[in-house]
Amino acid sequence: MKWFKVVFEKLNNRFGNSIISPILRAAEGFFLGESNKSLEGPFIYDKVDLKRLMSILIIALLPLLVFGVWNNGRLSGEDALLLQFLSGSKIVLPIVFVSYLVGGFWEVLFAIIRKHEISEGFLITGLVFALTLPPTTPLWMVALGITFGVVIGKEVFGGTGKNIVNPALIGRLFLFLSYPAYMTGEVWSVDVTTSATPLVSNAATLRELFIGTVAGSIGETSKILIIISGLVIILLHIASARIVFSSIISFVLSAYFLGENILWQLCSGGFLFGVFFMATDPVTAPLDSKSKIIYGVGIGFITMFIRKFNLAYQEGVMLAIILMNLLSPLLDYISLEMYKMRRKNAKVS
Amino acid sequence: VAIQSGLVSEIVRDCYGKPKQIVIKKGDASSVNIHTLNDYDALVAVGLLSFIKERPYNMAINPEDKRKLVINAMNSAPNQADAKALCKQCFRQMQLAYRCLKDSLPEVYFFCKAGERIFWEHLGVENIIEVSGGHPAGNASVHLAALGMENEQVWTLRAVHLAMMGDFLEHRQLPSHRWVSVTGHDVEDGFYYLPIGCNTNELKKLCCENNLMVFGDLLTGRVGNALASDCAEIVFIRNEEKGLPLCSWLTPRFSVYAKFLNPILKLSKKVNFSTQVHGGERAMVFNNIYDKVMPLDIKMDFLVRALLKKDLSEALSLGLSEIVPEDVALCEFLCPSKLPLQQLVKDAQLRIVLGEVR
Repeated sequence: MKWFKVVFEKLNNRFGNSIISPILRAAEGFFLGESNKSLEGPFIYDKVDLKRLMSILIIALLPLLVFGVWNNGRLSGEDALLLQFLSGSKIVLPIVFVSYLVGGFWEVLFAIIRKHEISEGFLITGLVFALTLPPTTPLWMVALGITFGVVIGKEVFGGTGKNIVNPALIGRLFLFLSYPAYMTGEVWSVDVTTSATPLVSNAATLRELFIGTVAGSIGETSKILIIISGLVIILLHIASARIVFSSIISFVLSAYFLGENILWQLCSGGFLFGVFFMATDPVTAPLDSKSKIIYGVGIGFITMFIRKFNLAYQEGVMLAIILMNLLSPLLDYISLEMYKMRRKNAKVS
Repeated sequence: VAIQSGLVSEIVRDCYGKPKQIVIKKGDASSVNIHTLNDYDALVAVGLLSFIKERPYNMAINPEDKRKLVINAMNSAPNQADAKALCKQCFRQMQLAYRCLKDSLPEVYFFCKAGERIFWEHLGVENIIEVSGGHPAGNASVHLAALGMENEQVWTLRAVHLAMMGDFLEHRQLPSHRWVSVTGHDVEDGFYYLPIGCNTNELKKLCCENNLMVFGDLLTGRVGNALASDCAEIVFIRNEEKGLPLCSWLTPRFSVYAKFLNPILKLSKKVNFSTQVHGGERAMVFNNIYDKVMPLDIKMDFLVRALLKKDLSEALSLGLSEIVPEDVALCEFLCPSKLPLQQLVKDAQLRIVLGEVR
């Protein structure tokens, strides 16, 4: 530990004001943590910072990643548990690695150009993006998708906290529009079936869909794990319960009125993953509590609507979230204007 | 400015209305005889009414305006001096000051903790309003909102300052000492009668060297070289360098507000605070955490966004004039992006006072 500190001190003395200083600061923060002291009020701070929130989210996503590794190993035909993990690792981990490597590269590059701190946001974007991909997505495509997501979806807007759509989703959408065959399950590899999470096929039972022992996007198959991890982040105030529950309720009601099997609809596709881990992105979701409910209702309804009426591409959650992301500034604007009007009236009265 | 030290004779403004020069005429101490003045005028003469602040923006008062006064004896901020405990040390002085203000001002409201009404009635206090709840229930803005006076020009005063005002009224001599609550890490808690202006080296004898001495409470206090007359509390807080474990940020830690976790994870209720910020400043990410500790009808996320954009008109329409920096101190404590919210509010209000927005 002390050795590490000394190394960073020396590096800071040597390169502290150079072009690589953001990388040094980020590395120091990553390994040693930030030991800033308060010099003016408040003199005490809560232990949770943005990095810590991200770390909790990463920990919440890890079960989905581990399950994805095991499930894809199992689907590749291995019988022994260890071999299933090994085989699954060979399929899944390169995707995650490339996603992090390329996403991290862009993040660092922009931080150097803009001379600001490297945001830890790419740690989430990189993982969420990888989890939404079918397991046999070519690695060059992963690199392309995350590049589009980070650069066009986030950095051109000014970086973390300023993007208007979820960068992981915009990267996924880019791949979907550019290479639909890879993203919708029409390409088959030797080792494993590549497809989005089952929606069209009725080959799987409801139980299999719920547990997740079906082919699909890496992190989207196991609904039970998604629900558990999702509830954890809701309880820790990382995800908004309003968005999640209004989305689910609206989705269930839409499915009911459109005459669909509700449980089947909930357990198939990537709806639950999208709602728990993407729709709740605090940067792209609305701020106001009423707007959040409308936003959630919109996601649930649009997802079900696309599933029912768009036969070419039935998984609508990605499009629904992006559409509602784009609408969320408007929702916030309307609720803010109403709030201001209410305040004005209260002052007058 | 106290009459004896000087009088503001002229404020020269530039073409935008911003004050360019403030001309202070030297006061003539011999022209004022504080022994012959009535209590209120005597307080004005020696400048002790500077403890009273005028809302909005916590500005210095004009003693001639004589507005409604809200006295705050509810101390909810961490390590804030307890007015009731102080009152036991200097009952008579507080009584004198309260009577003087009550007789001179049109209306005086007195906010105290729930269950303390009888104690304060014994002091002769009227118009008592009891408040319960954790911080920031003790902030004057919350009390004003409860009275529906958040948009009025009102005076506010912390009850702990009554002691010093009363001390003067009793002897008609500007006090050289004041009662200060001393607490914190590694120090014997209690009220100390300390000389105003005494330097920090002397005060540090109360505690070990490694601690940081904070004048004021832990959320809104400041560090300084000497005890100011408006300082009612000194808090010592751990400030030693302590190495963090490798990759410590990967181990999840939970907010003190994640209350449901305490029984589940059996977390200790005792929190050892230090001056560690637990992170660095980052881009603002809205997660509605501010709203959990903002009892006023203010949408903090939007207000902070307006402040970061330096959009004062928007900030005003979102209620900037109804708060003072201490109201956002708890939001700053919780802020995951570690943004300097108090400073943002302070700067914005200063710009408004200086006339940048009309």
